[in-house]
Amino acid sequence: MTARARQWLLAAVTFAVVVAVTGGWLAYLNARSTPHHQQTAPGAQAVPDFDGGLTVRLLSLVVTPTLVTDKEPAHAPAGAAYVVALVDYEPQADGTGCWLHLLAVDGRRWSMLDPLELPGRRELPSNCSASPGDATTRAELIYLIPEQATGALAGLVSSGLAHRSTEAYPVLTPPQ
Amino acid sequence: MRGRATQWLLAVVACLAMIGLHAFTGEFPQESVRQVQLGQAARLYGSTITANSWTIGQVLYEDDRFVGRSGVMFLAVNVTVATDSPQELRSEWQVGGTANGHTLAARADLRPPQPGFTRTQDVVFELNPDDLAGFTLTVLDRAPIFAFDPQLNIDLGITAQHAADELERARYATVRAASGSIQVIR
Repeated sequence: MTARARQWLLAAVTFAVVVAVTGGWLAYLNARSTPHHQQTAPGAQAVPDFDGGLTVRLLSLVVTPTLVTDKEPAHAPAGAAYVVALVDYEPQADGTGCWLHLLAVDGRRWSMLDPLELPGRRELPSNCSASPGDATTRAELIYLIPEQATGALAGLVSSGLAHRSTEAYPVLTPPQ
Repeated sequence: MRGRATQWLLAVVACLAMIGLHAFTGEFPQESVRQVQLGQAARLYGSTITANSWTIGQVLYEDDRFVGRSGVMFLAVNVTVATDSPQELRSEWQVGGTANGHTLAARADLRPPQPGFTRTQDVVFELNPDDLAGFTLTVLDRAPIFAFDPQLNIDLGITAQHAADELERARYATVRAASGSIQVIR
């Protein structure tokens, strides 16, 4: 092999290594910044947030066009429906809340409805602010979603997406 | 001589690459601005925004609630936002306006509706009548890090003559702004 050929070979090898390292690094960054989800076993407990927080179990996911309140009932707009997620949680002393999104199988996610948007109060609280030792450790999270999405719901996920990791976010699944 | 020039060239290219990388990754605020016209739909992440119309007046009602009488005037821009994509939910956008080199803030933020819904609402500004001509509505989706955040500049198409005619007609009128209700995208 001539000296010139060796130089060309060295340049080609260097170029290939640079491309491989850059490609691998970009793929890792992409995987790290793209949220992944993993379904929990039906009815299983999980900690939705990576940075600790509440241990939550999804007890049921009920779709309804009308919500009963202590005043007048709330009716969903035409073509939409309410989804009531009943959750059980382990209270924490610091009063950590449960801000969970409702996730559809196509990746769409809805944030919780503000209880002030309802005409009255519901029986269960819409937050997870109970203290350790309190009798009620249940809460219901209410969502308003398009009716056609109600048949393809995956469960509840963390509302925070800022955490960068290749680890999957747990998706709380209701019991079958 | 040639070797030394190559070294300097490499150093300059490396410096420019570092500056470009910092700009891209957010060390410097950057906006990626798109110009659209009144009535023209434009995308901002997973949503579509359309400015439909505008009205002016001196008295403002929001959802039938009296807000006040302005010492100058109110401008209400009717906007429709539809979220029809599964992209990450955005909590709010920075809404403002520019005219005659002035930057104006809207009375309230614009919140994109949740996936599958559309919302039509009014964005209200209080401004000097001289700033009506050439008014441009700006909607900026500011990310936690500044890296080419998308911004829409919506030209309301208000010419000097148009502004003069409208001020003559509706300068002291009542603006009835709506915070809007959501509807399902069919």
